[in-house]
Amino acid sequence: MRSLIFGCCMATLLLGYNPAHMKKLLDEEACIACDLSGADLSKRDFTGYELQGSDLRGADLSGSNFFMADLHGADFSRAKLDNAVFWKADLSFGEFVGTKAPGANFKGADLQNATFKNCDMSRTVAWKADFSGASIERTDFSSSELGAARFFDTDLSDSELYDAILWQTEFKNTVLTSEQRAYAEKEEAIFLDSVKGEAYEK
Amino acid sequence: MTTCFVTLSLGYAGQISQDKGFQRVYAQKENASRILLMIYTAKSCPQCAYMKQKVFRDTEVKAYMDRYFVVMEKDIHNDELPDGFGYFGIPTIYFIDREGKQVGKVIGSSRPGAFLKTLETIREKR
Repeated sequence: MRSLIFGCCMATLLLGYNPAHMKKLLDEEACIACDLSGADLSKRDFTGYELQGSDLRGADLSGSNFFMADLHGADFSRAKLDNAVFWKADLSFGEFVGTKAPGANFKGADLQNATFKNCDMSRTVAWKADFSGASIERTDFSSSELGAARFFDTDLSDSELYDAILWQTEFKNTVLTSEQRAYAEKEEAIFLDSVKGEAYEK
Repeated sequence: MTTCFVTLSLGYAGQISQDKGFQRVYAQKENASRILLMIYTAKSCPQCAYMKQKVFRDTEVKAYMDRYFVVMEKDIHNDELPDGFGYFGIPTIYFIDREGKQVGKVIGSSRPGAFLKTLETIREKR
């Protein structure tokens, strides 16, 4: 018994997450403001689950399905989101610091006011996703599909947009380098500001 | 009972070989050796519009498609969809031969270059 308790304590210390929260999530399909940091949540179906404000720092969510899940204000810092599906999920006010999300699907996701810092968003599918008001720093969107996505009131100037699809992508009060601006125009992005050109240069 | 019957009748689409668009395509001699590219779309799908307006109209893709493929579009909200050709997200593209056999499937969008490679692979595999 003592070794079992010791084992559980060690697992908690090493993985970080609260086992009771993990059980609640799997039993009730909801766990609000839970500690799931470092948990292995890979290759599972979390369609419609509620995880608002949960701590998912360092968790492995790769290959999992969060279709229409509510992840408002969740912290994904240093988490692995490779090829995970967040189609139409609420990820607003989420934290994505050092997050690895190559190939993930954010189609139609609400990412408003989220924080992206040193985040790998390469090869993501994010058609119609809304990044408005998001704080975006040094984030890699290379080869991602950002068509019809919305980037109102954001600064993308130190982020990578190489080979990203920007067809019908909407920019308003968006800070872009002149190079990014030219690329976005070539991609047929939509600029909703009345001032063109230098307003986008940094 | 009547309601149930009507609902079932509307929901039935039938085999691809019974689809009027399919029949129309292969009724034309020039399409005999071409592969049918059936794309599922919706008006509210920018990804579908991108494929139709940008990728299919790309010079190289268009030339290849005109030679080896024939396009049939199905609006998931307004058209009957053939049995056995379901979808999870759109655009979903099915490649079908004249016998009604599926020879390929693509979900989502891609750049013209990547899509051309997909077309070449499907044609070579056939």
